[in-house]
Amino acid sequence: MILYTLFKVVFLFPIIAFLPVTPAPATFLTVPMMWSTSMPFVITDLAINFMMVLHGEEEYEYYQEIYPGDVITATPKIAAIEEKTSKSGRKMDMVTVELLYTNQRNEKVARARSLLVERK
Amino acid sequence: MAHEIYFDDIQVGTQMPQLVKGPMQKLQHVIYAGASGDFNPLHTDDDFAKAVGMPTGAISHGMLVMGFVGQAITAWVPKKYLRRFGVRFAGMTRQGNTITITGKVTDKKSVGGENIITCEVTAADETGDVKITGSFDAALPKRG
Repeated sequence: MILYTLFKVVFLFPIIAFLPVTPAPATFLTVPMMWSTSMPFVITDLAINFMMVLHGEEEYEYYQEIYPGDVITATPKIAAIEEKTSKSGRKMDMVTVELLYTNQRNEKVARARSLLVERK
Repeated sequence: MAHEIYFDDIQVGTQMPQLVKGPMQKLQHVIYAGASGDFNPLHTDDDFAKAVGMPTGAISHGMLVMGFVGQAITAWVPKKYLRRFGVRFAGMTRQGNTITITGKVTDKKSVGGENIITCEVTAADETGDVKITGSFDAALPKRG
């Protein structure tokens, strides 16, 4: 198991909502992850060929709601890297990325766990 | 969305209301790419997708289909009660697929002062081909 902590990345959401009480939907945290520089860090640091990446699994644990105006900080960590062979004999790297999200009050908001599959 | 759901009224085997999405179109992939920030051409460029081994062309973002599942869940259980939501991407969603999301409660228990239900969820296309299997935990209020 490889532990590998990346830079902290701060995301600002300039979201205009119809109601100030509208919370973010269940899979919203994919947005700061994809729009940030954290995924490119993971991809380049691990020399992953992004074009051959499939998404294997995704899991969220929710600690509290995200509202418009919140400033969310993500701390990404590579939790595991495993090489596997598919049924068809193709080699694959299985990379597990964990992200802990906190808000402007330094409260835990959510944890995300993504399994990325790089086809060789 | 402003309805209430009570732990007392949910039993193991209770079905989540079904949600049907689609048929999937490449336009939706392009819109989701812009919304999510995932611009991998695998989802928007048929020629590229074929060159990397997808014979039918561009496939849907896994997170787009997980988003559908999240929509189905939170139409039934308010988002504020959701504690965990995890999926495995079991199959590729292709253009033209109509996706049906179903779910069933598999467990209910009271732990640490919270009343937790666990529910399995599935997203499958019109032929029954499974795209997503997953589950979620939610902490529900009790009556009275």
